[in-house]
Amino acid sequence: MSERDTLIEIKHLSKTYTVGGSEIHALKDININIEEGEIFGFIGQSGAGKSSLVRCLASLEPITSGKVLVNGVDLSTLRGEQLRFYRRKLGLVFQHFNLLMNSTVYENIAFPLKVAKKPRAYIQSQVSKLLELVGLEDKRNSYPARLSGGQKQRVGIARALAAEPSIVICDEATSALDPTTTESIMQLIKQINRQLGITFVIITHEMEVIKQVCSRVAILEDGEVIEMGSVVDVCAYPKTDTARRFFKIVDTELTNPAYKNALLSGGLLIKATFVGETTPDPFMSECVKRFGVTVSILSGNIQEISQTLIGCLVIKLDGGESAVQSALAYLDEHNIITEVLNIEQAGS
Amino acid sequence: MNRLEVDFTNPEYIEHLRRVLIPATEQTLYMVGFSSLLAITIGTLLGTIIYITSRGGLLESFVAREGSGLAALRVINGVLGFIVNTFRSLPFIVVVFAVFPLARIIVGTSIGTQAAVVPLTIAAIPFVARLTEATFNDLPRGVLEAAISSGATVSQTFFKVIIPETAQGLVMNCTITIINLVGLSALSGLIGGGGLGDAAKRFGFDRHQTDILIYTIIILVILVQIVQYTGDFIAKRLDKR
Repeated sequence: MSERDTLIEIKHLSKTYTVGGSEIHALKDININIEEGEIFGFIGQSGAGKSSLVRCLASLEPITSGKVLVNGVDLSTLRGEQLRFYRRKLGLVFQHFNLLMNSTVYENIAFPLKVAKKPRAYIQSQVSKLLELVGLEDKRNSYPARLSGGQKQRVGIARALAAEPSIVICDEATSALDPTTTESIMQLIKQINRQLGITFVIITHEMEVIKQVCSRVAILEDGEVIEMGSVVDVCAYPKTDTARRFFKIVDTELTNPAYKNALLSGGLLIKATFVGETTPDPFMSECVKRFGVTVSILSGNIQEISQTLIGCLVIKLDGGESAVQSALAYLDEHNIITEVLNIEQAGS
Repeated sequence: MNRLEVDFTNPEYIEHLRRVLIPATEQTLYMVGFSSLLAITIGTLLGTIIYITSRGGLLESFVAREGSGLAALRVINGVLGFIVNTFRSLPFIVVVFAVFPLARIIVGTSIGTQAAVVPLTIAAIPFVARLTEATFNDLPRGVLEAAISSGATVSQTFFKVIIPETAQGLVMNCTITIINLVGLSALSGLIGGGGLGDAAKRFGFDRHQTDILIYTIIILVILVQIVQYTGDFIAKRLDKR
């Protein structure tokens, strides 16, 4: 991934809105490079600055300070026809589709080409190609009101692709859809990314979307990027509480009754995370054999994230302080990340 | 004129009805027709300007990114909004008296059917402007953003998105305006405008010719129904939502 070229460079990007005399810092010093051909995700709760980021990247609003460079071109220098050209070359997919309700599917997809005054024949062939790509050939002359949410979003995606953009930004594109439809839209995005090599920027509050389609992710909170990295890394080694909350694989709350019961008899509650090919079982039994600890598995889960398996177990270790410490060291040696969950209780 | 018994076999009675009702209907159609045409044209234009210069409106969406010009938009929007509100706050009857001299300048006379078009038009323009603005405002912002981010210019966004997307609403505004003007035109008898309202007053009310009153009511109801039905029909055809 690192040998790819940088397509979007976000440098010290800040966006401040002035509302009724007071300043709202929607984005604070964002620095990110998005590489050509990748699917980059931004995740954050509402109010984290996601919308502002979309509006700045799509050049719908001016940025307050910093720079956004796309293919080395500073967006803030674009005016008039150049700006419209840039906007055409950047597809935008919306949460609420924003289709023209009085226009057919065909006309909706043709819109970016019509405003660019492309020849009729070209528009027809391009729209037909896109209809096939998103699987809506039979809806060509339907009006959006006749389509399901998923179909509307397919039209939205086809429209975003019409002017052959190099970047497509999906602004909560699946947030208004049910899980099955979300899944199919995500498959479509992956397919387009693979087939056409288009760079996607996915903005969402849904961790599932990030886990399924993105290669890298940045977590936004209060207008700042608080964590960034490959999705696998952020899932397996979250550094912030927000990351832990978003990418929760197993329940780690001590209030969970199963954990409470188990801890009545003492012991350490441990979250063990393993990435890739590793499976924990042999190591667990080895711990029992070598160090004489007792291991009880309280909960566990395995997920596939960007084609990598990430598993998490919550286990209770008992059998004496030194035995437990040796067991932890042993797991650590074998690249199983352990985290003691009941630190306070164990310490007291 | 003597009062005639209701008798459709009496040619004299029929002649009387024709003499009263036909010119009155023609005058009403004349006043409503011209004032609607003028008010809808000017009012829609005015409403459009108020809409595109409004906070969060079409021009701001473009200006916001392009740089300067925001202050000018605010001034234009503020001034036009104030003018519209001022005229909207005047009852029609006050407009009639207030534009008396204006009518003389515009149509050369301050009484009669032609003159009545002036206050009707002036009263309806701000009404149409506000209706137009409200119709455009109903269009979700996201649709505009989709157009802008597709690389559309201001005029492309207006003519290829805003107008077609709100077409059914604009047609319904015309319907409401015309029907309103039918109602207002009845008051124009005050300045000799004639029309069905005037006939209803002079014959039906002043001379107790209840039959004439009833006929004017029937004609007015038919007129309004035709306008409403036609408007609904066109709006429905345009609406694909």
